[in-house]
Formats: sequence, C-alpha cells, structure tokens
Amino acid sequence: MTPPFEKKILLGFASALLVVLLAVATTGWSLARFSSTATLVDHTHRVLGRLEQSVVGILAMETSTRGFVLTGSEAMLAPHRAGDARVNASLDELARLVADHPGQQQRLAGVTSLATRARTIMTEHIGARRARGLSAAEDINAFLAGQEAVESFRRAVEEMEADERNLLAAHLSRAQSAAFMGNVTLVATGAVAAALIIFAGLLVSRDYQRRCQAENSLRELNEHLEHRVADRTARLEAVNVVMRREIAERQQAEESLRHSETRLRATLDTMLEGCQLIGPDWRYLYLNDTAALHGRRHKQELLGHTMQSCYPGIDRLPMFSALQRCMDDRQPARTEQEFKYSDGTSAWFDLRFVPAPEGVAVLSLDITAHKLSEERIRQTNATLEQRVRERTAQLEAVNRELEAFTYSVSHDLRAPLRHIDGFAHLLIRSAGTRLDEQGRRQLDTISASARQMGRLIDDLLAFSRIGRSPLRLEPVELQPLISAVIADGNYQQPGRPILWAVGPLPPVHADAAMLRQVWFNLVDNAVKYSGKNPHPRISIACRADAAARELIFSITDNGVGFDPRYVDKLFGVFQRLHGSTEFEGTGIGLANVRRIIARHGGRTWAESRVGEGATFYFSLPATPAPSPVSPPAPTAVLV
Amino acid sequence: MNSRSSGLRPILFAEDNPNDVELTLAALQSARLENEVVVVHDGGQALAWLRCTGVNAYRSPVPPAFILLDLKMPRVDGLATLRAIRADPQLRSTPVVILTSSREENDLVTSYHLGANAYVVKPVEFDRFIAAVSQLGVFWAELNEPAPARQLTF
Repeated sequence: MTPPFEKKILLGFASALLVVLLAVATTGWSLARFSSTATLVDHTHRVLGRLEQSVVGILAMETSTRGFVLTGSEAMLAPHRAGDARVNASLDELARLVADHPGQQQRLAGVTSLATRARTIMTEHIGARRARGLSAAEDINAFLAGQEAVESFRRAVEEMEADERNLLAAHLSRAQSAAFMGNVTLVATGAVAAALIIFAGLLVSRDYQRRCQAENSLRELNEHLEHRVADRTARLEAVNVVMRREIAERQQAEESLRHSETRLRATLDTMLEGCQLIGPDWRYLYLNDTAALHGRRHKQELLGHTMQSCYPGIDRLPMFSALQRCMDDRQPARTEQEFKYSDGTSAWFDLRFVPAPEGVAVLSLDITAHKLSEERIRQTNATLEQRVRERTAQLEAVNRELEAFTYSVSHDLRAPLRHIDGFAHLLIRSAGTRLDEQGRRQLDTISASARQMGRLIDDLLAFSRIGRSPLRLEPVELQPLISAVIADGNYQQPGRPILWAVGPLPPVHADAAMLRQVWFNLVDNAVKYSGKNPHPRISIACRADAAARELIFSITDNGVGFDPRYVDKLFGVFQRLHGSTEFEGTGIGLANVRRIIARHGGRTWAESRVGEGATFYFSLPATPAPSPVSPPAPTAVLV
Repeated sequence: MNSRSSGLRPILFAEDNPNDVELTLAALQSARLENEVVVVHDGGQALAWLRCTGVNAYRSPVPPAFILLDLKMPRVDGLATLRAIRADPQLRSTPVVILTSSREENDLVTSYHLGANAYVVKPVEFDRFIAAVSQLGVFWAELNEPAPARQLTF
C-alpha cells in the first residue's frame, strides 16, 4: 500500500500534469482561433486590394478614355485596355474571394454591373470619338455620364470596402477576446501548475529532508553500534584475559588441591575426631582410626558392610533418623547420642552429619567425660538452687518476724509510754496541789522521759521503714526540692540571717520522698550545728566524677564541726558526737541519710575539724542517660 | 438537730487495754460530751452490741453516733470488725473512726480501703492525746450529721 505521503506527491504531480495539459489545450485553441483570424485578415486585405485594383483599373480606363477622346490617339487607349484587364481580373478574383459571403456577393454583383455600365459608357464615348471626331470630345454629357458611372462604381466599391472592414473589425474583436481568454487561461493554469509544482516540490523537499535526517540518525546509530561492538569486544578480550588467568590459576589450584587432598587424607586418618563416610546404601565407604576406635571394631570388619549389619538395632536410635534426614535433605545436622556396647559399658558421642558427594560424612567426638561433668554440674546446680530456695525462705521468715517486731514496737511499745505520760498528767491534775516542788518536777521528768522514748521509737520506726519500703525511682529536680526543704524548715531567725549558696545542681534519678528526707536531715543538721556562729553560711554543691560515673553532692556549714576521730560513729543509729543538752535531736538523721543513699547505690562520708565547720558528702550513680537540662546559675539566698 | 431531739445517740468505744480506756474516757470527759459511751473490749462484743444479739438482745436498738475502734484487739481485731460492719447492710452507714497506736502504712491503707471514716494515731504526749480525742469526739458526736436511724429499725 502506498504511504499517504507518496500518495500526496503523486496526486500533486498528477494535478500539475492535468493543469499543464489543460493549458496546452487552451493555448492550442487560442492559436487556432488566432490563425483563423489571420486568414480572415489576409482575406479582407486581399478583398480590399482587389477592390482597390478594380478602382485603379476603372480610373485608369477613364483617364485613358479622356485622353483618347481629347487627342484621338489610339496610343492613348493602351492604359484603357490594361485597366480593363485589371478590372476584370480583380472582379474575377473578388468573385472567388466572396464566394462564401452572400452579402458581399450581392454587393459585388452591383459593383460588377456598375463597372460594366462605366465601361459601356467609356466604350460608347470612344466609339463616338472615332465616329464623329473631335466633336465627340465636346459632348459634355458623355463625359458627365462617364464620370457619374465611375463615381457610382467607386461608391459601390467603397461600400463594399466598408463592409469588408466592418467584417474584419468584428473578426478582430472576437479574435482579441479569444486571445485574452486564452491568455487568462494560460496565466491561471500556469499559476495553478506552478503552485502545484511548488507544493509537490515542497513535499519532495520535506521528504528529502526527512530522508536526510533518517539517514543521519541511521549513520549515527551505526557509528554507536560499531562503537559498542568495539567496546564489547574490548571487554570480552579483557574477560578472556581474566579467564585465561583464572584457568591457569585453577590448574594451579587443582594441583595444590591434589596435594592438600593427600595431606587431608593423612590428617583424616590420624585426627582425634572420628570420621566415617557412609554411602546411600548405609555401607561404610571410609573410616579413620578414631572412628574404628569409637565403634570398637577393626576397619576391615566395617568397610563395605552396612551399618545395620555391623551394629544391629542402630537404625532404631535417634541419631540414625538424623543421619537419614541428612542423607535425604542434604542438610548438615548435629546430635548427641549414647551408645551401649556389648560388654555393658557405654559412651556418649557428639555426632555431626555433613552431606558429602559419596553420601554423608559422620564426625564423632567422644564426650563421655564432658557428659559426666555436666551431670555433676547439673546436680550441684540443683542442690544450689534448693539451698537458695531454703535460704530465701529463711530470710523471708526473718523479714516477716522483723515486720511483726516493728509492728509490735509501733503498737505495743508506745502504748505503755502513752499511759505513763497520761497517768502522770492525770496525777498532776488530781494531786498537784498536794505535791511539793520536787514531787512535781519528778512527775514532769517521768512525762518527759516517756515522750523522749516515744520520739526514739518513732525515729526507729521511720528508720526501719526506710529500709523496707520499695524504691520508686524517677527523675528529680534538686533545685526546687532543696528550696522547699529550706522553706519548710522555717530556719530564719531575726538578727541572724543564714547565707545560703545553692547549686548548680543536675537532675537525678531517685526516690523523691526519700531524697527529700536526706536533704531535710542534712540541711537541718547544718543549720543546727552552725547555730552558734553569728554569721552562718551554708553552701550546697555538686560535682560529677566521670571516672567513677557518679555525682558527688556536698553541704558545707561554718558551724562547730566535729572531731574527725569519731567520723565513723556519725552515721550510726542514735550516735551523737555532741551532748543532747548542747544540740537537741535523737541522732537518727544521718543514719537515715546513709541508709537511703546506700539503697540508691551511693556512699556517704563527712569531713570536719572541731570549730571549723563540717562538710557532708554523698554520691549517687550518674543516670544511665543524663538529661540535657542545663544547670541553673548559682544562687545566693538570704533567709 | 435530729439526734438531739430524739435523744443523744451513744458512742461505741472498742478498746481492750484498760489504761487506754481510762485515758480516752478522761479525754472525752474533758470535751464535756453528754453522749453515753458504751465500752467493749473486742470486735465480737462490738458487733454483738451493734446487732443487739447475745447479752444485748434486750437493749434499745439505738444506733451509735459513731464507733471509736482500736485496731489491735484480741479475737476479732479492729480491721475484721470494720470489714463486718461495712458488709452488714444495716450497719454500713455507721461512722467508724480508727483510734490506734499504729503508724504502719499498711494499717492506714487497709483501713481506708475497708471504708473507715477517719484514722487517728494516738499521740504519746498526753496533752496532744486529750486534744485529739476531744476534737474527734466533738466532731463526730455533735457536728457530724449521721444517717437516719430508720435504716436500723426492723
């Protein structure tokens, strides 16, 4: 099928050809018209020429006639005869020329008769001269008649000439319009043909350009392909080089493989691990010395025989199903198996099954000793666990007893104290007036002692609670906590402001309530023991010990301090380094601090010299992921 | 007040220790309460009085203004007594104030869990003890409006 593009070109050229043919036809038609017009013009000219000749002939005859009439010389008549012949010839010729024109024929008939009449008059005039001589020349009528006949003839000829000219004009006008039409047609068809040819030419040119483009891209493609072929060839050559090298290496490797196989064989034969090769039909294909030793048979007894025939019942052991799976699935496996020998002894083996081209390789390791120690360890562990359980139960029982004890202390020990104080009061109330000063003082002492013992018991209970209650660790911001402790302590005294320097302190991970207790005890102590200094100054600080991964907090006062020899007693329960009359308190606070910090995994210690103030320290483990809170700026607060 | 117009309701006081009974009564006395104080020595006696059973079968079935309950008592202790009171539809609304020596968190939590209305630790110092007992006596016997007695009639 012709593509639409070529179809267009064909159509364009066909149209152009058609238009050109049309133009040729039109031109031909025009030429034909033009040539017929030329013939007509020629015809008219010939008619006019003949008519003129006839007029010339007549005029010559008239002149000749007059001459003769005047002179009587016969010589004068020669032009008359020539004119007559000319007129005759012209009229004959005219008769032929107008044969196809009835109108002109009719006029020619008139002209011919007028010419005959003029000639007749001239002939008569000539006859008269001859007959009468010169008198004839004096006959004016004869002249006039002749003249009038010639004049009529001339008019008739002129009419005919006018007709012929009119005819020619009409012809020319038609020929002109035909020529114009022809020209117009020629120009139009020429233009259309030119347009079609240009259109076809454009199409062809576009097609040519496309072809050129296609050829260009084809050439580029070819070049690209050639380039790639060259490239691929180069790479293949490179690969070939590598392959040749690899082949060489492989040959070398095979050579060394043969060597190492020999070595390996020697190793297999002599290694401490048992090694045997079992075929798919369960026949022994190979076994080393150790494998024979494990099986307690000679190699020759086993090689070529099936496992089942050598060791009846072996296929009922769990290891055999593992071996079978390895044979079928070609996947390595490992198991432990105890073998019982015919002499009643047994041994444990660690067995590994590895798929081999010939079947399965079985590697065996004697683990009997290992199994025995394992069993001993298991028994020891079981014993240990039992002992741990027993010990735990004992500890739990002790704990329960302790709890019962503290409950009893809490409830039963305080009741008598309350009674002592209560009844002492009731006694003062009822018998106060009957007692003297000493008796009332002694009763007051009984009350005071009872109350003191009540406080001791409360402190002991709190101390015990600190040891027993669960730790609730959470992030704690120390700055607000310490501010609250200072505010709640109500430490301000008129005229003796305490200068506090706190921080910066990082957030810690601790039990908030317990940590509050720690700071309360430390702050309370610092205030208490700097009570005699007129300008008490207490500073709280923290530094990080990166090496020990801990935070070390300190609180320093400028109070009375303590004797460093007794520093060990500081943190004991109810231990005091100062008399109770000097500083009040039960002596449980620092014991609480030590217990709480110890439960958080930290340490407590103190430094001092008598009269030079004291610094108490405690450490807390740095939090696993310290929060990036920037410590607040140090603050100095006057309270 | 209703309780006044229909006669003062008694206060039920459960405490096994005679010293504590004496001191507590002295404290209530100092508050000048006119309510009768019924003293029982364990939980069993308290429940029998409340339910008008046994030796109380013929008492006038007036509900107490409130119960002052010690925790540590022989036979039926305070917590068991509280549990029984709250389980009894006819006693359920009676105000119960725990008056004890125990500061144990466990006792505190369990008491409130069982529905105690208040928990007061007996102070060792007599002055504070007097103040505490008389304050709670005034509050529960005079200020507090108990549930209507109708619930207890049968």
